[in-house]
Amino acid sequence: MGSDSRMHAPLELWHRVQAFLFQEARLLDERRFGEWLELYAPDAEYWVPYAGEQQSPKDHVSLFYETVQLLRMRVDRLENELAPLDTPKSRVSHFLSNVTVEDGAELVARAQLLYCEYRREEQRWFAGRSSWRLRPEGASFRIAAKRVDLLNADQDSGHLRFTIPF
Amino acid sequence: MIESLVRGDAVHRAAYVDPAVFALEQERIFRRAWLYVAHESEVPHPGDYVLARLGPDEVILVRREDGGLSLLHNRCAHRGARIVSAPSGNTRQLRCPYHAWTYRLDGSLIGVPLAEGYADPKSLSGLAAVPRVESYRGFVFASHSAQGEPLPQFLGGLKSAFDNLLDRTPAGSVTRFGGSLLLEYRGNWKMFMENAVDLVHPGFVHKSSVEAARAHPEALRSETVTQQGAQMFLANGLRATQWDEVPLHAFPGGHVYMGGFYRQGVIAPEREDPVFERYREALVARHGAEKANAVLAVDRFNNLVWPNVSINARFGAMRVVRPLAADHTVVEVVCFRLDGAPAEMHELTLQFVNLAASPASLVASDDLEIFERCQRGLASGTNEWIDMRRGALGDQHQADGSIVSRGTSELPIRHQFETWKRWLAQ
Amino acid sequence: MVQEFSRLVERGRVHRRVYTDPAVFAEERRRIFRRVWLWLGHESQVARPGDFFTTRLAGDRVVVARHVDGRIHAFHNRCSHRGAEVCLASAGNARNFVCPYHAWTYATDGSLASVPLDKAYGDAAKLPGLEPLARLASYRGFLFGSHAKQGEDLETFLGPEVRAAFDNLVDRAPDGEVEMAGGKTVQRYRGNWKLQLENSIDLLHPRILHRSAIDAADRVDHGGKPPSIEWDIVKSNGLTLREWDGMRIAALPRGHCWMGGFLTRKIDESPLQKRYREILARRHGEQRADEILAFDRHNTIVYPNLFVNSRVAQIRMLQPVSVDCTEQHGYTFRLKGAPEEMFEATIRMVNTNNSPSSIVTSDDHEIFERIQHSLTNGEHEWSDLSRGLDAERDAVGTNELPMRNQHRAWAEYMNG
Repeated sequence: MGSDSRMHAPLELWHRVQAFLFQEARLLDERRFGEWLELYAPDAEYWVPYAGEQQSPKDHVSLFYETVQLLRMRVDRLENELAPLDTPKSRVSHFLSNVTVEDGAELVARAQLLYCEYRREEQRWFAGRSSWRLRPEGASFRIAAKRVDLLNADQDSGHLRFTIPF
Repeated sequence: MIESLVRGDAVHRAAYVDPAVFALEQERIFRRAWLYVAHESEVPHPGDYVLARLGPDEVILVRREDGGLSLLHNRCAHRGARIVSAPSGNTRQLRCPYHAWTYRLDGSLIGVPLAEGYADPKSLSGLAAVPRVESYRGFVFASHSAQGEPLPQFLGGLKSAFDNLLDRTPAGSVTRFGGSLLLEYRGNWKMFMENAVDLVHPGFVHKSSVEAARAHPEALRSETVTQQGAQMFLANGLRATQWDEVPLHAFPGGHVYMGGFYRQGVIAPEREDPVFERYREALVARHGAEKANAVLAVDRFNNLVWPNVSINARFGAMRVVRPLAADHTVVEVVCFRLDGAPAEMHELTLQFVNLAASPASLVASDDLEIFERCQRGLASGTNEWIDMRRGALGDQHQADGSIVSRGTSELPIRHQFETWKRWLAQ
Repeated sequence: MVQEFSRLVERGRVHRRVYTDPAVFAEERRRIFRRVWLWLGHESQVARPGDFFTTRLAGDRVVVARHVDGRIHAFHNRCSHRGAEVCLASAGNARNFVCPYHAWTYATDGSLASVPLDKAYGDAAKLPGLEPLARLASYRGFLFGSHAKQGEDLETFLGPEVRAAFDNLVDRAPDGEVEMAGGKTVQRYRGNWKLQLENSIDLLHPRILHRSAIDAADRVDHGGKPPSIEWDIVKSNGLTLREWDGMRIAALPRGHCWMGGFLTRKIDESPLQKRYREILARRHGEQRADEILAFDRHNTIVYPNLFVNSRVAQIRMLQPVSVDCTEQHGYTFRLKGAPEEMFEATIRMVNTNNSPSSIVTSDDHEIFERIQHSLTNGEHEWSDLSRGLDAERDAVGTNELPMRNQHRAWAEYMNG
């Protein structure tokens, strides 16, 4: 199924989805992790693949491959004073652009991502493409799955440790 | 060898560009002299701590339960991990996150987990402490060297700058406030100290901001901040004869101050506005009219504490110069609130610092540019010597060992290099 | 220079320069990494004739290939003509390697197959092929290389206890063979390589340093379902200090060492494990299957830079980049003949520990950077490694014996 045959969502839906995605980004930027997790369905999966065209998280390592429960552990720890990693706390900014919404068999949103992290005298950037499978819930949505493909996921020199999710 | 770098009224460029000279400075000056660490108001309660630097080392200033201060190296005695990573806080103990070696606030070791794993746990070390820490009226200085003259002697004639700052407070104390600004430039640290009391450069280096202020006379009539900025920029446009009338004083020990030169508006030493009136009343209540007048009459701009501190008592601002390499420097700008003064005076301090010392400052940015041009220029060509003779004939030596000169003299540079030579030679 | 290095290691302490001095780092490359056997890869990466992969061995770029005759060769990735990198792909299958510069062509055993316009050379037959690696050897399918032409053979270098770790990793495969699969993780930290080496055999720190991750695991509500593998991994750091002391550790010749296993839940009861055990028992008999599964080691560290986990079928290798920067590369293996779900479990465990997102190793890396930052503070020049100095014979788990052992090996290598 080629990209031309995707069904583009009507304007009103697109607007609501985009607002929802911006909300997710803002909650992460503001470290409102409890509210961020509320946006996810309990059975949701969060996946940041290691390799560009990685087909499955089951037979290949991933940068993140987490259930909501694991995400909860992750953000719980970030808020713990005893986490040496995050003292002083890192600051991030998620930029989303080129948002498209496809309302076909599933409701899928895609966007370009620019993620800037400032931590301890250093600022680093990541770019890539994010995609979400969304379930409508009332006037809003829940995230059933999120996938972030980073441009440099598998760079040879590896990565310094990550802090706040992409 | 070092002596040959300072020759009468000229200094060898190696003093600014040579990494070997920089290393020697670190060893003989920054590991021995009294250096400013922090202010006591930053650690008011037992358990309070701040991270600071003492020369090349990172240190923790802690207020102990008994009210005293400890200055400890931020390095676990076990495997060397950095113990404190937050810039400030309060704690009852210092604990390393790696293996939980735990120390008291004075740095002594309380204990380690599974101590029976050591043959003699009592012989394990605590945190290394800096040998000399002293506070001059709330300003905490320290020295890596166990020997040397006491702090008040070291400060010598420059004590008067701290004294005047404290005299200017209705409550008799200052409190550090407002955060820090950090300036960075690719040039030698001594350039900043020289520039702070250089009264010839403003007319040239700061010409663009002078002319910008002159082009907008309406700014002088507007509200405080705008007027303050305009007045500050204009003040750099004095004529040479006016600069000459600003006195320079050099003290034994390498310290120097310059007289004040703001004459008008909200930055002038004496003002007629209601805020200043309230402030003056509070000062009179503390000192009596005569002394209050005398305190306010002390009109100095930058006071330099050798080797690396510049303090402006009138505006409650201090700059601490941190050398990182021969060609790389960071300057930290620190503000003090005059306790008991009206809140509007504190805002004046912050605005002064924003306008004069922020990386965005129209004034400071030109100075930093000049430093970087000097650093690059010094590397070129065959002329090894930098002239510092201006005004030498007019230097007046006083009975108490200090030297006074006219504003355009390069006395401060000559004086600082004499001191520099003495420290490096021993 | 020789005496200088030996002064940097004393019985219960180590000079900070071993971690912070770039001159020491440069000498380490010469005196340690260019002399020992270093892990190169696995035979499964070159399963068929013509298969190749490229990697680095102590900084040098190397190609490993299986020739048409079935033998594996390793050579420097550098054209014998003007030095260009001949093979740029990280892996693949080829009949020969052609240098993009002047088309010098090499067979998969490194020999020179052809040179364009070779008549211009007096005796083209004398032109060299790709320079072979000084020594190449394999143990149970694990390929090792060395830059030193002479030295003890691989099996002697590894020693019986390290060999046992590789044996167990392979023996756990019902087919008796493993294959490298599932990709590679790369973590990076700004600290000296030896800090990770010490940390991997440091049993005192997990409960303390990883406290925030343990706390987070404690707060998880499993909702009646069995905990996830990832949770297990994180939670296992939370053993008490006494339990850690109960772990077995061993310091071996040449700086190698190992520590016993510590995964908290007895997962032998899970249906997956039962299925697996049945398969293994059908292959080897009950007794042998029990033996294999009873061998419970967590990390076996092959000095200077290799971590082998027999239980979880993964390997990590340190690549020192500079005195204060290190990469850690992680590889996983599929046990041939075992249920595929076991490989999925391995992948998930590896994600938890070896990804840059790991909530466990992130704190290790943070600490390494804090050490690297603070070691130069002050006048005191030593890092303390004296825990258990007088109790090495019946060493408890938290004894710093294995770290002292590593530094002893370091000093021996550095002294030439």
